[in-house]
Amino acid sequence: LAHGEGGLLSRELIRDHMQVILSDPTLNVSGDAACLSLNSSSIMMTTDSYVVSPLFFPGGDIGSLAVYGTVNDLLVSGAIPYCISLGIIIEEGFPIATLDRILKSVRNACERCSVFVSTGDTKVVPRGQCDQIYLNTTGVGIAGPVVPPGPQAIQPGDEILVTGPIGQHGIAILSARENLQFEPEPTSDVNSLANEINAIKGHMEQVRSLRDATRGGVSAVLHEWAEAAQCTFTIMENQLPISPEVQAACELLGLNPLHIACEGTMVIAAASGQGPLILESLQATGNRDAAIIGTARSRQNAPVTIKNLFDRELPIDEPMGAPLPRIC
Amino acid sequence: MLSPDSTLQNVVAHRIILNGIVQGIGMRPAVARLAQMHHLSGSVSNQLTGLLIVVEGSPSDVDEFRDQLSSHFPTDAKITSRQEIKCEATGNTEFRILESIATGRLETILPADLATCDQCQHEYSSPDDARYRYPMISCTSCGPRYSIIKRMPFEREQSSLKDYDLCVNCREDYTNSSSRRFHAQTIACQDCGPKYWYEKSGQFVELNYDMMIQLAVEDIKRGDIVGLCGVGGYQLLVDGTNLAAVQRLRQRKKRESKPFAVMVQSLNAAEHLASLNQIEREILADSRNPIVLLNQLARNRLAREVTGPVGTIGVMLPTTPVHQELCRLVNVPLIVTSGNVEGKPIESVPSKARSELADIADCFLHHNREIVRPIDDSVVRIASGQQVTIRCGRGLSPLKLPISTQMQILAVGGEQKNAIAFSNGSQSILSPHIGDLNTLENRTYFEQQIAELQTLYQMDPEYIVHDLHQEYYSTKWATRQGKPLIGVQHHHAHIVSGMLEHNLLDENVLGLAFDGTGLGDDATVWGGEFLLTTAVDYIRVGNIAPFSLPGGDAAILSPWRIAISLLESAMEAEAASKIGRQIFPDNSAENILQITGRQHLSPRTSSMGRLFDGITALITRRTESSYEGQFPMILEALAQNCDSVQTPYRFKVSTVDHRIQLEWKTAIRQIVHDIDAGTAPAVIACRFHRGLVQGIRKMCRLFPDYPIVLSGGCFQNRILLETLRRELEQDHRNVFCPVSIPLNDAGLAAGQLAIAVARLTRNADHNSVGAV
Ligand SMILES: [Fe+3]
Ligand SMILES: [Mg+2]
Ligand SMILES: [Zn+2]
Ligand SMILES: [Zn+2]
Repeated sequence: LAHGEGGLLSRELIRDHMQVILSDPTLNVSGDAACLSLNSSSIMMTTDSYVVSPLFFPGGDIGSLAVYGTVNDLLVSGAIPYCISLGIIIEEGFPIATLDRILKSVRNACERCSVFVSTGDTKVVPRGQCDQIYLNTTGVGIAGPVVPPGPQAIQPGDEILVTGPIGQHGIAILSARENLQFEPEPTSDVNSLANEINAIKGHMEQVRSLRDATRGGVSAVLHEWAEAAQCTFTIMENQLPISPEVQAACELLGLNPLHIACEGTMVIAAASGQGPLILESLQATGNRDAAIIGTARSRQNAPVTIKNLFDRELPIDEPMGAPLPRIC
Repeated sequence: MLSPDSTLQNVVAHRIILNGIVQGIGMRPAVARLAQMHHLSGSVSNQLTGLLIVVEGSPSDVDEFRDQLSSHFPTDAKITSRQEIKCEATGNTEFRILESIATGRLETILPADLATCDQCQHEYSSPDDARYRYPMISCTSCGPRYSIIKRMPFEREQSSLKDYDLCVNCREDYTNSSSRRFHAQTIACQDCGPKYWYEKSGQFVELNYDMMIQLAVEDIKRGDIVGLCGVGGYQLLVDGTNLAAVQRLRQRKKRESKPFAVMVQSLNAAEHLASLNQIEREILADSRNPIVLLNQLARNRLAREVTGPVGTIGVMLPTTPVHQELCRLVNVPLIVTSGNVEGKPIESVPSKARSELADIADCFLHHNREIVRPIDDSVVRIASGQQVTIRCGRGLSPLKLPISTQMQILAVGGEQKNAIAFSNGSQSILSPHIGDLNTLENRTYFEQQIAELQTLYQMDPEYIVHDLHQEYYSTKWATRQGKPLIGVQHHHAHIVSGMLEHNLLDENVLGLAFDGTGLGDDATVWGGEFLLTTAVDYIRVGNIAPFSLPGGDAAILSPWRIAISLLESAMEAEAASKIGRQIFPDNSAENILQITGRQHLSPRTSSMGRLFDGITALITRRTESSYEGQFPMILEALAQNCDSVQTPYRFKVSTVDHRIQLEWKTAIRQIVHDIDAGTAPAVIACRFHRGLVQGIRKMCRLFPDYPIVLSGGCFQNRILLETLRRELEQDHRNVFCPVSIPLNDAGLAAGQLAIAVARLTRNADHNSVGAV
């Protein structure tokens, strides 16, 4: 691929690949801006860039990740996703066939969460200036009927749920990148959270806060919320939904699954006593691994703690960088 | 009769200020006695700034008093400074012990808690004595001090004995200058002092002392666990010869295999458990009363589960008459372990002990002398005839450091075995052992300790010193304080803690810092370091050849992973995998080999402690470590069991990146060869120790001109320390090792503080030069 300088080649790239594959009504207009007609005065918007390596991993690829990641950010903010933009930066020499594969994955993901690509941009940069391909998506949505008040509203006694197994995405990526062999193979959970949001729709009034547990995993979400709410979250280790393959990988690598990214699992803070009802709804819609994993308490001297299998409560520290041994 | 005026003409007065260990040890009564002997008037008082003596009388009497003063100090006194000045006579005729006035910054040294002295013990067992069978008996030279002080100076009114008004007898003793308890602040008896009581199942309470001792003795003999409130906090007592009882204690305390210490009634009884040399006997019988790690006899009465496969046993003698009584009556070695839930600080309040230890202790012996400052038992070892401190607690703490600065500085130490050090501008102190900062309770305790010591010593730090490791709780706490920070490299602090004790702060030394792990300045994990060191800086001139820790902390908990990593470095992957599978058939060597080469999954380390871990795993086929230091202790025990002289393994010295490196790959291949050949583990362990020492000696010969300082947790290994020291001394090297400052991470804060002071002083000097 050598489509750096705009002009004909770029137009061809857009016409032959972007438009053909993504094939949606607005993108056919080769103007500079998409025109959206939304009948709401409250529009929500989010953006994210995707630089994942490897590009293809068990359970997904950079294309599906770029769609679900942004759509999920809209969903957990209480928005109904409408469309996304797609910016692509490609390293010179990147195979067209691989690009097509990624674009198809973008299309499939869009279809699955009923959004479309409303506008896009492509740049080809010289070799070595980027690592194969980077995507950027901006999501636009309409504010839903009930938007959760956010983490400041969390009270002691509130219950914390996750909608699925934790750490799947991060471990899948790491295993693929490092070429680690596990039986069975860890698979990314990358997916839209639309089903989960739908499942808890009826309980939205009792939900304080929602967040997809992406980078830094469940732990990062809870640390952020604990700061906002000035409370402490206590996790029950025996309640954590962790697949055997993620468990095995974490043991080998000395990692804590609470710190590992998910891409299709969100954390819910629900008003005290509402947890079981929400859990029931989630499980009824197929989220068999959903679980109540802990509760909010008044502020202790650690923002997040875990009651381990021996019933000892220990602090969960947020890693500050690459994990280096602390044991002396 | 002479008029007052003419009297005064023949009268001189002197004011003397003594500093050092001058309070809580019977200093004031001793001074008062001497003054009265010489018919002097005046006063003696405890001040925050030291002991103030004013004497007044004829010039010859005053001079005699001044000459004789230092020979009349109690044995525990340690005078660091003596200032004298002539002053105006007042004409008073009385010599008085004045109540203290507490103002200003604390300059005197806090007295430590001392075990009951022989005289008190004798009175305790004399039926005619007023304190016959009074378990809280004490005098001016023994009893609780640090643990009961609320504020300094050390006065009864400022201690937890405040609420116990003296009975007529005690008051008589207190005011009689010929009494042993003249001005003894902790004086008490069964009529007026604090008391013990026995409690079972939260209901049955026995107040009669003889009865309660009898009940506790029966409990212990039955195999029950007794929660005894000692001097610094609760202890759990168990019959050390009763296997079922020991197992129950392990199960209830959730302490799988970490060795327990035992208490025996006498030195004689200790000789039945371990081999003792003269210095070990002395330190065991010392009033500071530490647990002493001794080489265990091959056969003794103890249940094997008390120490497991390690070769040492922690032994202590009774602290108080209660301990003495129980030891004597049960007449077996008693396990004495801290009364706490693993990961929490030691319990010290009856109501809390009752609830926290409910699932562990079957009954309690409580007392109602409030413990103001809980403090755990100290642990020491003797190597090459010198004390090596492993835990600085009751009797040894608080430890005064030979650092003098007018700056107020707080050093927060490391992560595990945390202790803090600080200077309040007039003295520098290393705090008692605080604990591992990986639990909520210990983190709270760490913060409380800092706050309380700040109040007690009137300290408001201008600077906070911390380790370079960003993830240590102590570092995070330091960065939250909003004060100027000084970061100190872990192993630099270890070496400077040794320099500090041997007055080497102005020298260049070759430091050998061998420990488990500490963060290096190159963001890799260090632990086998050769550092050319000054008080302000260091150059890393050598290290153990690095290897990888597969899975980081996970490798430290599962040392068989390190064994695989060492094998892989020493031979081809194929062979490593094959041998790995042979030695550890139940573990997946292949999985480990997948990650050994990946830097971010398997951090590189030059750690000596980790090398010991890996070697131990290879030799013993053990896979998991259940407590810190377990594997090296097993290796030491194996080497100790080898009584014939063995050829050392080969450790080569190479140069990599201008640094010398100690190479262990040949040794690993030799070990594998020996394992294949069926060589006894003890022989392999011995060859390893000897080879390692030879290698280190070769490294040291490359830096011939420096005194050598050895520090870091690995030197708790007596074989390593003693043989290395001997060999280096054969090369005519001066070798130094920390003595009172713990040489493991519990001593880090002392080194941190000394480094900070040195750096700040140097900067101040530079600035003043610049200004000229
Ligand atoms: Fe260390
Ligand atoms: Mg995002
Ligand atoms: Zn005494
Ligand atoms: Zn009395």
